[in-house]
Amino acid sequence: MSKPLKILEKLTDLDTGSKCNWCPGCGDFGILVALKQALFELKLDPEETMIVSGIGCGSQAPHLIKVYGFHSLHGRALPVATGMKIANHKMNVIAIGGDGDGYGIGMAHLVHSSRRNFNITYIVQNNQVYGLTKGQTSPTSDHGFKTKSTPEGVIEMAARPLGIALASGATFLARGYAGDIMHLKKMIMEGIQHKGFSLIDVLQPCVTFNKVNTYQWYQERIRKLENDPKYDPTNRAMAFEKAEEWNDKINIGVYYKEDRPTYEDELPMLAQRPLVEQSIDTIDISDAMNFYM
Amino acid sequence: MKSVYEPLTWLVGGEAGYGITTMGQMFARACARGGLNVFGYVEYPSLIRGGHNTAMIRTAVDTVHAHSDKIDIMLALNKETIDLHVNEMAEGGVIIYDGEGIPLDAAKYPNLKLVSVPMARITKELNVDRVMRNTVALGASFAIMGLGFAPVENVLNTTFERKGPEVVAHNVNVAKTGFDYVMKDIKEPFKKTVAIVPNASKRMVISGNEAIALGALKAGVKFMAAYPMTPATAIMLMIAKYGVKHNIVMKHSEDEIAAVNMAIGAAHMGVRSMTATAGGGFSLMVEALGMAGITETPLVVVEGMRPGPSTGLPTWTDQADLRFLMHASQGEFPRVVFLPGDVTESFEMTLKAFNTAEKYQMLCMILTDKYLGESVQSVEPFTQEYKVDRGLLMTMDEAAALKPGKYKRFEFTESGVSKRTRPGFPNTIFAVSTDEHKEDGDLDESSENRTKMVDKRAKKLMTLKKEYLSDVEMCELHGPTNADLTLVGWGSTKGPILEAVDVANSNGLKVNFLQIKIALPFPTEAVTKFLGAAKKITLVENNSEAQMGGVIRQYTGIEIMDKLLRYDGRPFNPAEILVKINSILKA
Repeated sequence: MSKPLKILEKLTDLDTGSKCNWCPGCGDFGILVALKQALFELKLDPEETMIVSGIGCGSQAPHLIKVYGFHSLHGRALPVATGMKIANHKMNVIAIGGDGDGYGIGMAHLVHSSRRNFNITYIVQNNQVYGLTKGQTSPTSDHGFKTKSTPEGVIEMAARPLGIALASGATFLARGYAGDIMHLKKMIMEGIQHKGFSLIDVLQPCVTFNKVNTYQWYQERIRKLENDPKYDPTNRAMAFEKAEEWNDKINIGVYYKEDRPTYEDELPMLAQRPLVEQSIDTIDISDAMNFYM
Repeated sequence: MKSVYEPLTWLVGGEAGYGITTMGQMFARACARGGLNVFGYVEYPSLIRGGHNTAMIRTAVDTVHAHSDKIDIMLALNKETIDLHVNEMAEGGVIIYDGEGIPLDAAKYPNLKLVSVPMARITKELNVDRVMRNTVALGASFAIMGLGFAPVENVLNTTFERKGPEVVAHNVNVAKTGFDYVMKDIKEPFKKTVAIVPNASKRMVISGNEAIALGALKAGVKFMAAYPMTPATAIMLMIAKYGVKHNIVMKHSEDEIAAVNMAIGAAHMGVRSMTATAGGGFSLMVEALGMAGITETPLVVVEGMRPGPSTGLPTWTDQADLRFLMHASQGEFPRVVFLPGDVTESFEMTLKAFNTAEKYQMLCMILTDKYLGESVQSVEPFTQEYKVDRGLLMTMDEAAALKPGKYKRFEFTESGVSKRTRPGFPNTIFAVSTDEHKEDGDLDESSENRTKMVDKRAKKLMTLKKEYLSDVEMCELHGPTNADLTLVGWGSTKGPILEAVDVANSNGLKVNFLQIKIALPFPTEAVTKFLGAAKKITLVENNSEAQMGGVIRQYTGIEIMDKLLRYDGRPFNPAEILVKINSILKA
């Protein structure tokens, strides 16, 4: 029981016409465009694609792309996406959310999703600040960053999400930049094409609440890993080293790539067909009852 | 107290790690093989080794509803068991013990019969592991009860048949040695109240938790995510065990937050999905319950109560989470809270919960507790007659026939229930938000839409009550219609109350029992009718705040003044309820 594949004719077929609430100049626009282009160029059937978000400015994304969408809870995009993938592993499942969402309240899910290696792509709109609640510190805010919740400056070290995901077993790690849509689109496409859990950390200026990590700040620091001929994205140790780099030099590109069977590959229950396609009309539990007699 | 029941109460006690629970199960199954009914109750502290564990099995020809405050036969695997429970021994009761390890002075136990069985020595002589004392004791117990050896042999046969005939013969030999040791001294069996029932129909010996898991299997659950927590853990383990055979994925998640979010994700995609936990884990799930509510995702959540607050008494029982389940999560949204009272109801309500969740696209919760979840009962095999009803879930063909762009997932309808699609179907693309949304799922904060959406969701509960879960069905009066006293209870107190009421009525009193089987939607009409006709009313609850009493007052305006409450972590026993009945009616 499968439907004919639907292939979009033009990029604008992905438009929903929903009103967007982002500030002019927000990095979320660049991410949205890159994601739409990636879906279009990969010729993904929008009816077989699900975008799950958490809560935050960027989590409005599912309403802005004409595929199936689920705008869930703050920090919970990944577990919702996981349940979806298990229920119907034929669906393309993409999770999206901000840095507060994925690296703060939802950090545990990032660690465990990395371990599991479901074929899910996770895009994090990382602007190093809480935007929707109007400017508080985030887990990726740099040391000393002053916000309304940290008026004397952030005391903690900034989280290094790529390193955390790598240590947890993620099989595809990339970083993109909202100001370089073509490159970001490529990262997202590679992430979606990768068979396994892919994390795309996207540097995203917040023009309203982050006056430090601006477009200009990023332009001055960004380097592309692919321009380094010595860099080998299959080398885990190298990836760790690069994931530590910040401040003067910030790397974008594919950090790490590894082939490992996905979680769903190892579930014998999914071998024949997705759970959603299995009939539940007549189930015999005689055997199970016999055990108790 | 004279009883219509003459159940025999057997208790095994020993240190945690001695295999007490397994021993209790074997004993219970052996009784059931002999055509008897059983009820089994385990007590254990929150640790793996070293604490004091007991398993109590009551057995009788008739149905046994509850545990007892009196022990007829005690099998003491250590001295502590005797010291802790000797005061619970019935007049003329028997203590089976190993006199070679536990020297007892018979003069100190004047009204009891002491039967020493050299269990350790027998295992040594037979050259088997010391843990097989339990098997020796099983044989010895059946000798004392005068039930013959056949049921023991029968249960050992099926327990070990997978391991081959030699293992079976070996176990049978060990048990027979214990049986024979006692038989050679015994002139008369201990009690004549139980006797083997020849050709009795086959019964299951099964716990409330296992019954819920069987219900989920039968209902077609395809996905479960959970995190272990006493007393609900058995449910996830059993679903996991049947995973490959029934094609069900049971995901042990990183925490209960992930569990419930995964379950919602899977349900949204169109499979029957559930989670199960205890109060602490349920606390972590609370935010996501509202997500199921506003996204109208069908979800089944089982909560097994243990005494709180916080870690509380992890391995004991109570009924203090009723209000919590009724109100958990911010905002207002419809939900169902089922209150099964015994093993069979646990199965049946689980079947019902899955249909209800899908028909009304709603959160359905099953509230059980340690006493019901972990106690075993002998019951007839469950009925397999069940019709899966998925409500307004579309088929692929129905979706394919729709005009593109016209589908509205949250369409306003007469019943409040809208057509549900399965992501992956053609022509039904939509995005839903946990923000308030309009009919197509997109955000909408307008006053008009908000009011209509709240009403739409609320309407589903009214529809459900009208067409599926009627008052009459979800509220049952046990015993005579005209009674001088009506006891009111819910959940696991059903068993002890039923037994107390039966005994009271056989003693010439007129008592009945109103069992409330659902907290939401509350069966207002039926409860009002029954309580309006009652002469005297006593509320029985395993909590300190009389939570159901408050709920009844809220919905019916009837305040029950007389209450029997217990909140020490222990379940009610029938005798203490009977004392209460007598104090009211014989005063």
